[in-house]
Amino acid sequence: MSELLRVRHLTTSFVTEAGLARAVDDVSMTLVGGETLGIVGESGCGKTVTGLSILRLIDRPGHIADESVIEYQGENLMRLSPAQLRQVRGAEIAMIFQEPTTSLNPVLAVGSQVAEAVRAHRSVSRADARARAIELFQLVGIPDPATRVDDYPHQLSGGMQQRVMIAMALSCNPKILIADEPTTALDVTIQAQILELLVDLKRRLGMAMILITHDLGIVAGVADRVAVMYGGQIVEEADTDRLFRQPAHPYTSALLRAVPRLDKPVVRLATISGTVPPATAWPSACRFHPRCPHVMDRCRAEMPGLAGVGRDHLARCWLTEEPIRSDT
Amino acid sequence: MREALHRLSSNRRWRYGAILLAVLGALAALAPLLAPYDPTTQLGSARQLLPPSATHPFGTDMFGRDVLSRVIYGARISFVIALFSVLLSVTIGTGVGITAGYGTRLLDAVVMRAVDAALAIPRVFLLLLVLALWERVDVLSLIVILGATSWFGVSRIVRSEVLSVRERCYMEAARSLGVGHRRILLYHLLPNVTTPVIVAATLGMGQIVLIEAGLSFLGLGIQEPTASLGRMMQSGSTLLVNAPWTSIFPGAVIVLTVIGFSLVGDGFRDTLDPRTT
Repeated sequence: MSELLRVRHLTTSFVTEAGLARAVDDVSMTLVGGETLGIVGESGCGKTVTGLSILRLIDRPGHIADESVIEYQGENLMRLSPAQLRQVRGAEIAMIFQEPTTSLNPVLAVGSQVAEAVRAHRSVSRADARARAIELFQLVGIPDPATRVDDYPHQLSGGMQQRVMIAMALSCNPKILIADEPTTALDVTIQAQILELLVDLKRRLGMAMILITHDLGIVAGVADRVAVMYGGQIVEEADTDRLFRQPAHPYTSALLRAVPRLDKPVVRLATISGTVPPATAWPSACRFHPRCPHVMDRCRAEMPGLAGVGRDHLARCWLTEEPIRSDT
Repeated sequence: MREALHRLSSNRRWRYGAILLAVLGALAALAPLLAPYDPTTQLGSARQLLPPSATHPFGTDMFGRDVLSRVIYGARISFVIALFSVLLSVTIGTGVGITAGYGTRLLDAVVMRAVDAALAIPRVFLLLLVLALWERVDVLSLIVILGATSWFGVSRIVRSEVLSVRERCYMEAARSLGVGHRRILLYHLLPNVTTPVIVAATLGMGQIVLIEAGLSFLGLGIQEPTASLGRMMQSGSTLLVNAPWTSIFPGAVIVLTVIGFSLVGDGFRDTLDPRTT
């Protein structure tokens, strides 16, 4: 399939009291039509800001570096006027957020909000927009849609609210859906339902999806390809199968070890010591080196580049250049 | 909507206030039908300063005019002035508040410092200042003057509400869907500020009634012979011992009106906010 989205050298920084925070640092990625790209990493590693940056939803004190390229179907979104950008948002690329409860306006009926999303891009009558809202509610599996459209957000459960958010995002048939932790705020059983719904809708509507999550289990089940982020950078990118079988970056391996497994007796779950450093003070050279079990002198001195370690497999680690590390 | 009405009517304060205002409002609205006499007709020297009786339930004043009729017409003018000047002040205040809250920081700073400066001037003093520029004060100019000098508080309330609402996730969600500024303002922001605005407007009505009465009492508001509650109290004040009915009845109507608006305003505050229920 053809390239739908091409991100190159995306750098987003925020001016904070503690200094300049480079939340996203030189991130590049490509999304082809119909595929699902998972972006994983711990909190504070730049996943959400990456998603927001693609739609240029970054406000003061944040700033996307001018040399960043966000190409959607060959058009660089960085060069669009605010009005042109609004034509892309929602209609071409839509986003759903982590907290359905706070992402819906509490004082407006949910159907009206979906209808408003429709009317943002199409000049249709109120009645037609409402009819479209009911249709969308049906699509996302909300029972009794003709009644539910008049409910207010607080009358719906979290799962139903997230379905409403999905309906809003899909209202203008976007080609890309950015889902930022779409299931994190939900019960485990509801999580599975929402994921299933997203996968099903993606296939039926032929969308591509960027799934941002910290949950490797979700990625394993849903994504075609995975990008692992750490410290505002992509540290590894590969096909999902390959990433899970042969992780090349110590951070990815550590993340995989920290996933609870049902097929092995649990002794004690592995953890990654330490925390993600603040974006105002990334460690010099390799950003993972203070937490890395395989740290070498070179890791403290030089930042590794994102290099190919196999077919469609990139990793940012000096270890991959030194396969016979037992000798050193 | 129906649910909100139900919640309101089960709020005791709102209910009593609403009943009070409904009665006073009906009196004001139906004044020509209800007033037994013309409020400005002087009924002759034989009928001056008559105490309350069957023919004149509230007595007559020193010019032989029926106090009940004048109270009814006075309430009518008070209501009209309060209603329209509050409409004006709420419109200006909401517009300014939304602009300041949603606009750039510089605009916000400039507008709100100007509002602070205006608020620093005592209201009555400000009114005296403005009224001194007018040669003749009629009802319309009074409405404009009162409305144009009482929106500062509303604009601050609206601005602070907008500042908090604009940071909510659903504003970002709306932007991520490509909704433009105008629609965000009208569709997402405005409904969020209606509750505090309704509360401020209701309480503001009571204040305007008081201020209008105060101005008229000082001789700066509605002029004779038009019936006005404040004016009636002023002319009755010299006769407080001999003919207390000429000032007690207009005074009681002012008090009841203000109490009515306060009760209804508090009731709105307690019940209307969907986030607290």
